[in-house]
Amino acid sequence: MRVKFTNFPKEFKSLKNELSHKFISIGKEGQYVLGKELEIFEKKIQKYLKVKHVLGVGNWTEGTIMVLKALGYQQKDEIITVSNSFIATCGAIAYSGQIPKLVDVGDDLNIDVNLVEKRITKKTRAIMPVHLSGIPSNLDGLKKICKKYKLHLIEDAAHAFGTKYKNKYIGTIGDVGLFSLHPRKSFHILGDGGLIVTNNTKLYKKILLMRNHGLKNRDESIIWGTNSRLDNLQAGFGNIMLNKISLWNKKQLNIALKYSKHLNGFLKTPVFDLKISNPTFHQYIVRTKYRNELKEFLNNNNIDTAIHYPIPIHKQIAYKNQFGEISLPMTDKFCREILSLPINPYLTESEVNYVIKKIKEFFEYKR
Amino acid sequence: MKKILTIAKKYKLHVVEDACHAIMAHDDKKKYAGNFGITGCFSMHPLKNLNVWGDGGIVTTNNKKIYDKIRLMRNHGLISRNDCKIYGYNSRLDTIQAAVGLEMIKKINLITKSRIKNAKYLNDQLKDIKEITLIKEKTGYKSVYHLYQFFCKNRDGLDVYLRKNKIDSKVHYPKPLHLHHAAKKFNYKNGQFEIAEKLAKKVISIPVHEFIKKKELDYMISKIKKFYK
Repeated sequence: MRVKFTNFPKEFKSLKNELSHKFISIGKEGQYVLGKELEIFEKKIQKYLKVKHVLGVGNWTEGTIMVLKALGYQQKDEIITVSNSFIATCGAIAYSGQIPKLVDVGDDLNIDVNLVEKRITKKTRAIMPVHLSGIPSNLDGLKKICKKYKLHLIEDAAHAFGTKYKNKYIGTIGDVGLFSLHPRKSFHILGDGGLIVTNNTKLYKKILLMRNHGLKNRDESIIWGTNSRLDNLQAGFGNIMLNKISLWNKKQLNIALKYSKHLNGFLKTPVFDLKISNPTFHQYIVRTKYRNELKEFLNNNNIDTAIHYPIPIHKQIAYKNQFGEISLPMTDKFCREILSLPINPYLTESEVNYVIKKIKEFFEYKR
Repeated sequence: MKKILTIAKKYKLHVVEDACHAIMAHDDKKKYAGNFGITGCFSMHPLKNLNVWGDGGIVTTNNKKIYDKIRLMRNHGLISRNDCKIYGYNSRLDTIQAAVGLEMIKKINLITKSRIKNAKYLNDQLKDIKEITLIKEKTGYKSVYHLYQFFCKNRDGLDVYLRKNKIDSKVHYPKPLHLHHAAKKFNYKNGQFEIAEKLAKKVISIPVHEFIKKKELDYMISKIKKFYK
Protein backbone atom coordinates (compact mmCIF):
# COMPACT_ATOMS: atom_id res chain seq x y z
CA MET A 1 0.00 0.00 0.00
CA ARG A 2 1.14 3.52 -0.73
CA VAL A 3 -0.58 6.61 0.71
CA LYS A 4 -0.90 8.70 -2.40
CA PHE A 5 -0.75 12.48 -2.49
CA THR A 6 -3.41 12.63 -5.16
CA ASN A 7 -5.75 9.99 -6.44
CA PHE A 8 -7.16 10.90 -9.84
CA PRO A 9 -7.84 7.34 -11.05
CA LYS A 10 -10.01 6.76 -7.97
CA GLU A 11 -11.88 9.99 -8.57
CA PHE A 12 -12.39 9.17 -12.23
CA LYS A 13 -13.68 5.73 -11.38
CA SER A 14 -16.34 7.19 -9.12
CA LEU A 15 -17.40 9.83 -11.67
CA LYS A 16 -16.83 7.83 -14.84
CA ASN A 17 -20.47 7.44 -15.84
CA GLU A 18 -21.42 11.06 -15.31
CA LEU A 19 -18.30 12.39 -17.06
CA SER A 20 -18.64 10.06 -20.04
CA HIS A 21 -22.32 10.90 -20.39
CA LYS A 22 -21.50 14.60 -20.39
CA PHE A 23 -18.76 14.09 -22.98
CA ILE A 24 -21.15 12.26 -25.28
CA SER A 25 -24.04 14.69 -24.87
CA ILE A 26 -21.84 17.72 -25.61
CA GLY A 27 -20.33 15.87 -28.57
CA LYS A 28 -23.77 15.11 -29.95
CA GLU A 29 -24.70 18.78 -29.85
CA GLY A 30 -21.31 19.82 -31.19
CA GLN A 31 -21.16 22.98 -29.11
CA TYR A 32 -17.56 23.33 -28.00
CA VAL A 33 -16.87 27.05 -27.61
CA LEU A 34 -18.82 29.50 -25.42
CA GLY A 35 -21.70 27.05 -25.18
CA LYS A 36 -24.60 26.27 -22.91
CA GLU A 37 -22.57 24.27 -20.37
CA LEU A 38 -20.30 27.26 -19.79
CA GLU A 39 -23.31 29.53 -19.31
CA ILE A 40 -24.81 27.12 -16.76
CA PHE A 41 -21.44 26.69 -15.04
CA GLU A 42 -20.96 30.43 -14.63
CA LYS A 43 -24.50 30.85 -13.28
CA LYS A 44 -24.06 28.03 -10.78
CA ILE A 45 -20.75 29.43 -9.53
CA GLN A 46 -22.42 32.83 -9.21
CA LYS A 47 -25.01 31.27 -6.93
CA TYR A 48 -22.54 29.14 -5.01
CA LEU A 49 -20.16 31.99 -4.20
CA LYS A 50 -22.93 34.61 -3.94
CA VAL A 51 -21.14 36.91 -6.34
CA LYS A 52 -22.49 39.14 -9.12
CA HIS A 53 -20.33 38.04 -12.03
CA VAL A 54 -18.38 34.95 -13.05
CA LEU A 55 -16.25 34.31 -16.13
CA GLY A 56 -14.81 30.96 -17.18
CA VAL A 57 -11.38 31.49 -18.71
CA GLY A 58 -8.48 29.47 -20.14
CA ASN A 59 -6.57 29.27 -16.88
CA TRP A 60 -5.60 31.27 -13.78
CA THR A 61 -2.61 32.92 -15.46
CA GLU A 62 -4.53 34.16 -18.49
CA GLY A 63 -7.34 35.32 -16.22
CA THR A 64 -4.95 37.33 -14.04
CA ILE A 65 -3.24 38.92 -17.03
CA MET A 66 -6.64 40.02 -18.35
CA VAL A 67 -7.60 41.43 -14.94
CA LEU A 68 -4.38 43.47 -14.68
CA LYS A 69 -4.96 44.82 -18.16
CA ALA A 70 -8.65 45.52 -17.58
CA LEU A 71 -7.84 47.43 -14.39
CA GLY A 72 -5.72 49.72 -16.54
CA TYR A 73 -2.29 49.14 -15.00
CA GLN A 74 0.69 50.58 -16.84
CA GLN A 75 4.18 49.16 -17.36
CA LYS A 76 6.20 49.25 -14.12
CA ASP A 77 3.17 49.75 -11.89
CA GLU A 78 3.58 47.73 -8.71
CA ILE A 79 1.52 44.91 -7.25
CA ILE A 80 2.16 43.75 -3.70
CA THR A 81 2.17 40.00 -3.20
CA VAL A 82 4.07 37.11 -1.59
CA SER A 83 6.98 34.90 -2.52
CA ASN A 84 5.85 31.52 -1.16
CA SER A 85 3.44 30.70 -3.93
CA PHE A 86 3.43 28.94 -7.25
CA ILE A 87 5.50 30.85 -9.80
CA ALA A 88 2.38 31.96 -11.70
CA THR A 89 1.48 34.47 -8.97
CA CYS A 90 4.44 36.63 -9.99
CA GLY A 91 4.65 35.25 -13.53
CA ALA A 92 1.32 36.76 -14.50
CA ILE A 93 2.30 40.14 -13.01
CA ALA A 94 5.69 40.16 -14.74
CA TYR A 95 4.31 38.90 -18.06
CA SER A 96 1.76 41.69 -17.98
CA GLY A 97 4.53 44.26 -17.43
CA GLN A 98 3.98 45.17 -13.80
CA ILE A 99 6.40 44.67 -10.92
CA PRO A 100 5.67 42.14 -8.16
CA LYS A 101 6.64 43.76 -4.85
CA LEU A 102 7.15 40.89 -2.45
CA VAL A 103 6.24 40.97 1.23
CA ASP A 104 7.20 38.41 3.88
CA VAL A 105 4.65 36.06 5.44
CA GLY A 106 3.41 35.30 8.94
CA ASP A 107 3.18 31.90 10.61
CA ASP A 108 -0.09 31.18 8.76
CA LEU A 109 2.16 31.24 5.65
CA ASN A 110 0.05 34.10 4.25
CA ILE A 111 0.99 37.73 3.67
CA ASP A 112 2.05 39.53 6.85
CA VAL A 113 -0.30 42.51 6.93
CA ASN A 114 2.03 44.46 9.25
CA LEU A 115 4.72 44.55 6.57
CA VAL A 116 2.55 45.72 3.68
CA GLU A 117 2.48 49.49 4.22
CA LYS A 118 6.28 49.74 4.13
CA ARG A 119 6.25 48.40 0.55
CA ILE A 120 3.68 50.85 -0.78
CA THR A 121 5.00 53.52 -3.16
CA LYS A 122 3.46 56.01 -5.59
CA LYS A 123 3.51 53.24 -8.18
CA THR A 124 1.57 50.70 -6.12
CA ARG A 125 -1.79 49.82 -7.63
CA ALA A 126 -2.96 46.66 -5.91
CA ILE A 127 -2.40 44.04 -3.23
CA MET A 128 -2.68 40.44 -4.33
CA PRO A 129 -2.83 38.10 -1.32
CA VAL A 130 -2.49 34.37 -1.87
CA HIS A 131 -4.82 32.28 0.28
CA LEU A 132 -2.24 29.53 0.49
CA SER A 133 -3.56 25.98 0.77
CA GLY A 134 -7.11 27.30 1.27
CA ILE A 135 -6.41 29.22 4.48
CA PRO A 136 -7.60 32.82 4.09
CA SER A 137 -5.25 35.78 4.38
CA ASN A 138 -6.12 38.56 6.82
CA LEU A 139 -8.59 40.23 4.49
CA ASP A 140 -9.93 42.75 7.02
CA GLY A 141 -6.42 44.09 7.54
CA LEU A 142 -5.71 44.19 3.83
CA LYS A 143 -9.00 45.90 3.02
CA LYS A 144 -8.21 48.67 5.46
CA ILE A 145 -4.85 49.28 3.80
CA CYS A 146 -6.40 49.16 0.33
CA LYS A 147 -8.97 51.74 1.34
CA LYS A 148 -6.40 54.02 2.91
CA TYR A 149 -4.08 53.99 -0.13
CA LYS A 150 -6.78 53.52 -2.79
CA LEU A 151 -5.46 50.18 -3.99
CA HIS A 152 -7.30 47.29 -5.58
CA LEU A 153 -7.54 44.03 -3.68
CA ILE A 154 -7.00 41.14 -6.10
CA GLU A 155 -7.47 37.76 -4.46
CA ASP A 156 -5.28 34.90 -5.65
CA ALA A 157 -7.87 32.30 -4.68
CA ALA A 158 -6.34 29.48 -6.73
CA HIS A 159 -6.23 27.19 -3.66
CA ALA A 160 -9.36 28.37 -1.93
CA PHE A 161 -12.60 27.57 -3.74
CA GLY A 162 -15.27 27.23 -1.08
CA THR A 163 -13.29 28.69 1.79
CA LYS A 164 -15.30 31.25 3.73
CA TYR A 165 -13.98 34.29 5.54
CA LYS A 166 -16.47 35.66 8.06
CA ASN A 167 -19.46 34.30 6.15
CA LYS A 168 -18.34 35.50 2.74
CA TYR A 169 -16.63 33.35 0.18
CA ILE A 170 -12.96 33.86 -0.64
CA GLY A 171 -12.62 35.48 -4.04
CA THR A 172 -15.68 37.68 -3.56
CA ILE A 173 -14.28 39.91 -0.83
CA GLY A 174 -11.71 41.88 -2.82
CA ASP A 175 -12.35 43.77 -6.06
CA VAL A 176 -11.82 40.59 -8.01
CA GLY A 177 -10.96 36.95 -7.26
CA LEU A 178 -9.11 34.43 -9.39
CA PHE A 179 -9.54 30.67 -9.18
CA SER A 180 -7.59 27.93 -10.88
CA LEU A 181 -9.45 24.84 -12.08
CA HIS A 182 -6.25 22.90 -12.78
CA PRO A 183 -6.71 19.15 -12.16
CA ARG A 184 -4.53 19.37 -9.09
CA LYS A 185 -6.90 21.80 -7.33
CA SER A 186 -9.64 20.66 -4.93
CA PHE A 187 -12.22 22.15 -7.28
CA HIS A 188 -11.04 21.19 -10.73
CA ILE A 189 -11.81 20.11 -14.26
CA LEU A 190 -9.95 17.66 -16.51
CA GLY A 191 -7.51 20.14 -18.01
CA ASP A 192 -6.48 23.76 -17.68
CA GLY A 193 -9.14 26.29 -16.71
CA GLY A 194 -9.84 29.25 -14.46
CA LEU A 195 -12.53 31.50 -13.04
CA ILE A 196 -12.69 35.24 -12.57
CA VAL A 197 -15.28 36.42 -10.04
CA THR A 198 -16.20 40.01 -9.26
CA ASN A 199 -19.00 42.27 -8.06
CA ASN A 200 -17.69 45.06 -10.32
CA THR A 201 -19.93 45.15 -13.41
CA LYS A 202 -17.63 47.43 -15.40
CA LEU A 203 -14.67 45.13 -14.87
CA TYR A 204 -16.79 42.10 -15.76
CA LYS A 205 -18.01 43.65 -19.01
CA LYS A 206 -14.50 44.52 -20.05
CA ILE A 207 -13.08 41.05 -19.41
CA LEU A 208 -16.12 39.48 -21.08
CA LEU A 209 -14.99 41.26 -24.23
CA MET A 210 -11.28 40.60 -23.70
CA ARG A 211 -11.57 36.84 -23.32
CA ASN A 212 -13.19 36.64 -26.77
CA HIS A 213 -11.03 38.83 -29.02
CA GLY A 214 -12.79 42.04 -27.96
CA LEU A 215 -15.76 41.01 -30.11
CA LYS A 216 -19.15 42.50 -29.29
CA ASN A 217 -20.70 40.23 -31.92
CA ARG A 218 -19.37 37.72 -34.47
CA ASP A 219 -17.91 40.39 -36.73
CA GLU A 220 -17.21 43.52 -34.74
CA SER A 221 -14.38 44.12 -32.35
CA ILE A 222 -14.39 47.19 -30.12
CA ILE A 223 -11.20 46.59 -28.10
CA TRP A 224 -8.17 44.38 -28.69
CA GLY A 225 -8.61 41.27 -26.65
CA THR A 226 -7.15 37.83 -26.39
CA ASN A 227 -8.58 34.32 -26.58
CA SER A 228 -9.13 32.79 -23.18
CA ARG A 229 -12.41 30.91 -22.98
CA LEU A 230 -13.13 27.97 -20.73
CA ASP A 231 -13.98 25.07 -23.07
CA ASN A 232 -17.66 24.14 -23.06
CA LEU A 233 -16.59 20.52 -22.51
CA GLN A 234 -14.52 21.44 -19.47
CA ALA A 235 -17.38 23.59 -18.13
CA GLY A 236 -19.59 20.51 -18.51
CA PHE A 237 -17.14 18.52 -16.36
CA GLY A 238 -17.06 21.48 -13.96
CA ASN A 239 -20.83 21.28 -13.55
CA ILE A 240 -20.39 17.70 -12.35
CA MET A 241 -17.51 18.57 -10.03
CA LEU A 242 -19.46 21.47 -8.54
CA ASN A 243 -22.00 19.00 -7.17
CA LYS A 244 -19.18 17.31 -5.25
CA ILE A 245 -17.05 20.17 -4.04
CA SER A 246 -18.87 20.91 -0.78
CA LEU A 247 -18.49 17.28 0.27
CA TRP A 248 -14.85 17.15 -0.86
CA ASN A 249 -13.99 20.34 1.02
CA LYS A 250 -15.70 19.00 4.14
CA LYS A 251 -13.80 15.72 3.90
CA GLN A 252 -10.51 17.56 3.56
CA LEU A 253 -11.32 19.82 6.51
CA ASN A 254 -12.08 16.75 8.63
CA ILE A 255 -8.81 15.10 7.66
CA ALA A 256 -6.99 18.34 8.50
CA LEU A 257 -8.66 18.60 11.89
CA LYS A 258 -7.70 15.03 12.68
CA TYR A 259 -4.09 15.58 11.61
CA SER A 260 -3.92 18.73 13.74
CA LYS A 261 -5.47 17.06 16.78
CA HIS A 262 -2.94 14.24 16.76
CA LEU A 263 0.18 15.93 15.45
CA ASN A 264 0.11 19.21 17.33
CA GLY A 265 3.14 19.27 19.61
CA PHE A 266 5.19 16.96 17.43
CA LEU A 267 5.43 19.55 14.69
CA LYS A 268 3.88 22.92 13.83
CA THR A 269 0.43 22.31 12.39
CA PRO A 270 -1.33 24.85 10.12
CA VAL A 271 -2.44 28.09 11.76
CA PHE A 272 -6.11 28.89 11.31
CA ASP A 273 -9.14 30.07 13.24
CA LEU A 274 -12.38 28.13 12.84
CA LYS A 275 -14.32 31.09 14.21
CA ILE A 276 -13.28 33.14 11.17
CA SER A 277 -13.07 30.52 8.50
CA ASN A 278 -13.56 26.94 7.37
CA PRO A 279 -10.32 26.39 5.43
CA THR A 280 -10.70 23.97 2.52
CA PHE A 281 -7.18 22.53 2.87
CA HIS A 282 -6.14 22.21 -0.71
CA GLN A 283 -2.87 21.31 1.02
CA TYR A 284 -2.12 20.43 4.63
CA ILE A 285 1.21 22.10 5.34
CA VAL A 286 3.14 21.36 8.55
CA ARG A 287 6.46 22.79 9.71
CA THR A 288 9.41 21.07 11.37
CA LYS A 289 13.14 21.66 11.45
CA TYR A 290 13.55 17.97 10.64
CA ARG A 291 11.67 18.39 7.36
CA ASN A 292 14.08 16.59 5.01
CA GLU A 293 14.55 13.66 7.37
CA LEU A 294 10.82 13.37 7.94
CA LYS A 295 10.11 13.50 4.22
CA GLU A 296 12.58 10.70 3.60
CA PHE A 297 11.25 8.66 6.53
CA LEU A 298 7.66 8.96 5.27
CA ASN A 299 8.72 8.12 1.75
CA ASN A 300 10.45 4.98 3.02
CA ASN A 301 7.19 4.12 4.75
CA ASN A 302 5.22 4.48 1.50
CA ILE A 303 3.73 7.87 2.28
CA ASP A 304 3.76 10.54 -0.44
CA THR A 305 4.53 14.09 0.64
CA ALA A 306 5.28 17.30 -1.25
CA ILE A 307 6.70 20.75 -0.61
CA HIS A 308 4.72 23.87 -1.45
CA TYR A 309 7.06 25.37 -2.49
CA PRO A 310 10.70 24.27 -2.27
CA ILE A 311 12.05 27.38 -4.03
CA PRO A 312 10.23 30.62 -3.16
CA ILE A 313 9.63 32.96 -6.08
CA HIS A 314 12.27 35.51 -5.01
CA LYS A 315 14.90 32.77 -5.31
CA GLN A 316 13.90 31.81 -8.85
CA ILE A 317 16.21 32.76 -11.71
CA ALA A 318 13.34 34.49 -13.51
CA TYR A 319 12.74 36.77 -10.53
CA LYS A 320 16.39 37.49 -9.72
CA ASN A 321 17.28 38.29 -13.34
CA GLN A 322 14.54 40.87 -13.59
CA PHE A 323 14.07 42.28 -10.11
CA GLY A 324 17.31 41.49 -8.23
CA GLU A 325 17.94 40.12 -4.75
CA ILE A 326 15.53 40.67 -1.89
CA SER A 327 15.53 39.48 1.72
CA LEU A 328 12.44 37.69 3.06
CA PRO A 329 13.68 35.98 6.25
CA MET A 330 10.42 34.30 7.29
CA THR A 331 9.71 32.99 3.79
CA ASP A 332 13.24 31.58 3.64
CA LYS A 333 12.96 30.00 7.09
CA PHE A 334 9.56 28.41 6.41
CA CYS A 335 10.76 27.19 3.06
CA ARG A 336 13.25 24.93 4.85
CA GLU A 337 10.59 23.65 7.28
CA ILE A 338 7.39 23.12 5.31
CA LEU A 339 6.02 19.75 4.30
CA SER A 340 2.65 18.95 2.74
CA LEU A 341 1.02 15.76 4.01
CA PRO A 342 -1.34 13.70 1.85
CA ILE A 343 -4.82 15.19 1.78
CA ASN A 344 -7.55 14.44 -0.73
CA PRO A 345 -11.17 13.35 -0.55
CA TYR A 346 -10.27 9.76 -1.39
CA LEU A 347 -7.89 9.29 1.52
CA THR A 348 -9.31 6.58 3.80
CA GLU A 349 -9.49 6.75 7.56
CA SER A 350 -6.93 3.99 7.91
CA GLU A 351 -4.54 5.86 5.61
CA VAL A 352 -4.88 9.01 7.73
CA ASN A 353 -4.28 6.97 10.89
CA TYR A 354 -1.25 5.37 9.29
CA VAL A 355 0.26 8.76 8.40
CA ILE A 356 -0.30 9.99 11.97
CA LYS A 357 1.18 6.83 13.43
CA LYS A 358 4.30 7.04 11.29
CA ILE A 359 4.89 10.73 12.06
CA LYS A 360 4.58 10.03 15.79
CA GLU A 361 6.99 7.16 15.38
CA PHE A 362 9.48 9.45 13.68
CA PHE A 363 9.37 12.00 16.47
CA GLU A 364 9.50 9.44 19.26
CA TYR A 365 12.69 8.16 17.71
CA LYS A 366 13.95 11.76 17.42
CA ARG A 367 13.47 12.31 21.11
CA MET B 1 5.36 32.92 -49.95
CA LYS B 2 8.30 33.31 -52.34
CA LYS B 3 7.74 37.06 -52.63
CA ILE B 4 7.10 37.50 -48.94
CA LEU B 5 10.22 35.56 -48.03
CA THR B 6 12.29 37.67 -50.47
CA ILE B 7 11.07 40.89 -48.86
CA ALA B 8 11.64 39.50 -45.37
CA LYS B 9 15.18 38.50 -46.29
CA LYS B 10 15.96 41.90 -47.80
CA TYR B 11 14.84 43.77 -44.69
CA LYS B 12 15.84 41.11 -42.16
CA LEU B 13 12.32 40.51 -40.91
CA HIS B 14 10.78 37.41 -39.44
CA VAL B 15 7.93 35.75 -41.25
CA VAL B 16 5.28 34.48 -38.80
CA GLU B 17 2.70 32.44 -40.68
CA ASP B 18 -0.94 32.70 -39.66
CA ALA B 19 -1.69 29.20 -40.88
CA CYS B 20 -5.04 28.83 -39.10
CA HIS B 21 -6.89 27.91 -42.28
CA ALA B 22 -4.11 26.08 -44.02
CA ILE B 23 -3.28 22.73 -42.48
CA MET B 24 -1.91 20.44 -45.27
CA ALA B 25 -1.76 23.28 -47.84
CA HIS B 26 1.50 23.37 -49.78
CA ASP B 27 3.40 25.10 -52.59
CA ASP B 28 4.62 23.67 -55.91
CA LYS B 29 7.61 22.06 -54.16
CA LYS B 30 5.36 20.37 -51.61
CA LYS B 31 6.51 22.63 -48.83
CA TYR B 32 3.68 22.85 -46.31
CA ALA B 33 2.14 25.92 -44.73
CA GLY B 34 3.73 26.49 -41.35
CA ASN B 35 7.13 25.56 -42.80
CA PHE B 36 8.06 28.79 -44.55
CA GLY B 37 8.38 31.34 -41.80
CA ILE B 38 10.27 31.29 -38.52
CA THR B 39 7.06 29.92 -37.00
CA GLY B 40 3.67 28.79 -38.18
CA CYS B 41 0.62 29.18 -35.96
CA PHE B 42 -2.36 26.91 -36.42
CA SER B 43 -5.75 27.06 -34.77
CA MET B 44 -7.51 23.86 -33.77
CA HIS B 45 -10.82 25.55 -33.02
CA PRO B 46 -13.75 23.17 -33.74
CA LEU B 47 -14.45 24.87 -37.08
CA LYS B 48 -10.98 24.20 -38.49
CA ASN B 49 -10.10 21.33 -40.87
CA LEU B 50 -7.99 19.69 -38.15
CA ASN B 51 -9.78 20.44 -34.93
CA VAL B 52 -10.16 19.52 -31.30
CA TRP B 53 -13.33 19.82 -29.21
CA GLY B 54 -12.64 23.19 -27.72
CA ASP B 55 -10.01 25.87 -28.09
CA GLY B 56 -6.52 24.74 -29.01
CA GLY B 57 -3.58 25.60 -31.23
CA ILE B 58 -0.25 24.45 -32.59
CA VAL B 59 3.02 26.32 -33.12
CA THR B 60 5.39 24.88 -35.73
CA THR B 61 8.99 25.89 -36.28
CA ASN B 62 12.26 24.60 -37.68
CA ASN B 63 14.14 26.87 -35.30
CA LYS B 64 15.36 25.00 -32.23
CA LYS B 65 15.98 28.18 -30.21
CA ILE B 66 12.42 29.45 -30.70
CA TYR B 67 11.07 25.99 -29.90
CA ASP B 68 13.03 25.78 -26.65
CA LYS B 69 11.89 29.25 -25.62
CA ILE B 70 8.18 28.73 -26.35
CA ARG B 71 8.33 25.33 -24.69
CA LEU B 72 9.38 27.12 -21.52
CA MET B 73 6.93 29.97 -22.01
CA ARG B 74 3.86 27.79 -22.42
CA ASN B 75 4.46 26.32 -18.96
CA HIS B 76 5.27 29.31 -16.72
CA GLY B 77 8.95 29.33 -17.78
CA LEU B 78 9.57 26.22 -15.68
CA ILE B 79 12.64 24.09 -16.44
CA SER B 80 11.51 21.60 -13.82
CA ARG B 81 8.56 21.42 -11.41
CA ASN B 82 10.14 23.95 -9.10
CA ASP B 83 12.65 25.95 -11.14
CA CYS B 84 11.54 28.94 -13.14
CA LYS B 85 14.03 30.33 -15.65
CA ILE B 86 11.99 33.01 -17.39
CA TYR B 87 8.60 34.46 -16.64
CA GLY B 88 6.25 32.68 -18.96
CA TYR B 89 2.63 32.07 -19.48
CA ASN B 90 0.19 29.21 -19.22
CA SER B 91 -0.91 27.93 -22.60
CA ARG B 92 -0.88 24.15 -22.78
CA LEU B 93 -3.03 22.01 -25.02
CA ASP B 94 -5.09 19.77 -22.69
CA THR B 95 -4.21 16.06 -22.82
CA ILE B 96 -7.87 15.27 -23.45
CA GLN B 97 -7.94 17.63 -26.41
CA ALA B 98 -4.65 16.21 -27.70
CA ALA B 99 -6.26 12.75 -27.58
CA VAL B 100 -9.16 14.09 -29.68
CA GLY B 101 -6.59 15.62 -32.04
CA LEU B 102 -4.77 12.28 -32.35
CA GLU B 103 -7.98 10.70 -33.63
CA MET B 104 -8.69 13.62 -35.98
CA ILE B 105 -5.23 13.62 -37.47
CA LYS B 106 -5.80 10.10 -38.79
CA LYS B 107 -8.56 11.57 -40.91
CA ILE B 108 -6.89 14.76 -42.08
CA ASN B 109 -5.91 13.43 -45.53
CA LEU B 110 -9.43 12.24 -46.11
CA ILE B 111 -10.91 15.51 -44.84
CA THR B 112 -8.60 17.55 -47.07
CA LYS B 113 -9.34 15.37 -50.10
CA SER B 114 -13.10 15.62 -49.77
CA ARG B 115 -13.00 19.40 -49.23
CA ILE B 116 -10.91 19.79 -52.39
CA LYS B 117 -13.29 17.53 -54.28
CA ASN B 118 -16.30 19.54 -53.12
CA ALA B 119 -14.59 22.81 -54.03
CA LYS B 120 -13.68 21.57 -57.52
CA TYR B 121 -17.26 20.50 -58.12
CA LEU B 122 -18.59 23.87 -56.96
CA ASN B 123 -16.02 25.69 -59.14
CA ASP B 124 -17.07 23.67 -62.11
CA GLN B 125 -20.77 24.28 -61.62
CA LEU B 126 -20.57 27.96 -60.73
CA LYS B 127 -17.99 29.11 -63.27
CA ASP B 128 -20.51 30.11 -65.94
CA ILE B 129 -22.59 32.42 -63.77
CA LYS B 130 -21.52 35.85 -64.91
CA GLU B 131 -22.35 37.54 -61.59
CA ILE B 132 -19.84 35.28 -59.84
CA THR B 133 -16.04 35.49 -59.84
CA LEU B 134 -14.28 32.38 -58.62
CA ILE B 135 -10.98 32.47 -56.76
CA LYS B 136 -8.26 31.11 -59.02
CA GLU B 137 -5.90 28.42 -57.80
CA LYS B 138 -2.21 28.60 -58.63
CA THR B 139 -0.93 25.60 -60.57
CA GLY B 140 1.06 23.17 -58.49
CA TYR B 141 -0.15 24.66 -55.22
CA LYS B 142 -2.54 22.81 -53.01
CA SER B 143 -5.42 24.79 -51.48
CA VAL B 144 -7.20 22.94 -48.71
CA TYR B 145 -10.50 24.86 -48.65
CA HIS B 146 -11.07 25.52 -45.00
CA LEU B 147 -13.60 27.88 -46.61
CA TYR B 148 -15.12 27.87 -50.06
CA GLN B 149 -15.36 31.49 -51.02
CA PHE B 150 -16.22 33.41 -54.16
CA PHE B 151 -16.95 37.00 -55.13
CA CYS B 152 -20.39 37.95 -56.33
CA LYS B 153 -22.75 40.74 -57.23
CA ASN B 154 -25.45 41.61 -54.71
CA ARG B 155 -23.66 39.62 -52.02
CA ASP B 156 -25.96 40.62 -49.18
CA GLY B 157 -28.99 39.65 -51.26
CA LEU B 158 -27.52 36.25 -52.05
CA ASP B 159 -26.51 35.74 -48.42
CA VAL B 160 -30.04 36.39 -47.16
CA TYR B 161 -31.58 34.30 -49.97
CA LEU B 162 -29.34 31.29 -49.28
CA ARG B 163 -29.98 31.38 -45.56
CA LYS B 164 -33.70 31.68 -46.21
CA ASN B 165 -33.30 28.45 -48.16
CA LYS B 166 -31.56 26.79 -45.22
CA ILE B 167 -28.07 27.04 -46.66
CA ASP B 168 -25.51 28.04 -44.06
CA SER B 169 -23.76 30.83 -45.99
CA LYS B 170 -21.37 33.12 -44.13
CA VAL B 171 -19.14 36.09 -44.80
CA HIS B 172 -15.43 35.87 -43.99
CA TYR B 173 -15.12 38.70 -43.10
CA PRO B 174 -17.60 41.56 -43.48
CA LYS B 175 -15.27 44.07 -41.84
CA PRO B 176 -11.55 44.20 -42.68
CA LEU B 177 -9.37 44.35 -39.58
CA HIS B 178 -8.21 47.94 -40.08
CA LEU B 179 -11.79 49.23 -39.87
CA HIS B 180 -12.63 47.70 -36.48
CA HIS B 181 -13.17 50.11 -33.61
CA ALA B 182 -10.28 48.46 -31.79
CA ALA B 183 -7.90 49.48 -34.63
CA LYS B 184 -8.67 53.18 -34.23
CA LYS B 185 -5.50 53.85 -32.31
CA PHE B 186 -3.43 52.84 -35.34
CA ASN B 187 -5.01 55.62 -37.42
CA TYR B 188 -6.01 53.56 -40.42
CA LYS B 189 -8.47 55.23 -42.76
CA ASN B 190 -11.49 54.19 -44.73
CA GLY B 191 -10.31 53.49 -48.26
CA GLN B 192 -6.73 52.87 -47.25
CA PHE B 193 -6.82 49.24 -48.40
CA GLU B 194 -9.12 49.56 -51.37
CA ILE B 195 -9.07 45.98 -52.56
CA ALA B 196 -9.56 44.47 -49.13
CA GLU B 197 -12.49 46.79 -48.54
CA LYS B 198 -14.01 46.10 -51.96
CA LEU B 199 -13.70 42.35 -51.55
CA ALA B 200 -15.20 42.45 -48.05
CA LYS B 201 -18.38 43.67 -49.76
CA LYS B 202 -18.35 40.97 -52.44
CA VAL B 203 -17.10 37.83 -50.75
CA ILE B 204 -19.30 34.99 -49.53
CA SER B 205 -18.61 31.50 -48.12
CA ILE B 206 -20.77 28.44 -48.62
CA PRO B 207 -20.41 25.04 -46.90
CA VAL B 208 -17.62 22.83 -48.27
CA HIS B 209 -16.90 20.47 -45.37
CA GLU B 210 -16.31 16.72 -45.60
CA PHE B 211 -19.85 15.76 -44.54
CA ILE B 212 -21.62 17.59 -47.40
CA LYS B 213 -23.38 15.22 -49.79
CA LYS B 214 -23.47 15.60 -53.58
CA LYS B 215 -27.20 16.16 -53.31
CA GLU B 216 -26.59 19.09 -50.99
CA LEU B 217 -23.95 20.57 -53.29
CA ASP B 218 -26.43 20.37 -56.19
CA TYR B 219 -29.10 22.00 -54.05
CA MET B 220 -26.80 24.93 -53.23
CA ILE B 221 -25.79 25.30 -56.89
CA SER B 222 -29.40 25.30 -58.07
CA LYS B 223 -30.36 27.93 -55.49
CA ILE B 224 -27.46 30.18 -56.47
CA LYS B 225 -28.38 29.83 -60.15
CA LYS B 226 -32.00 30.56 -59.37
CA PHE B 227 -31.05 33.69 -57.42
CA TYR B 228 -29.18 35.16 -60.36
CA LYS B 229 -31.98 34.32 -62.82
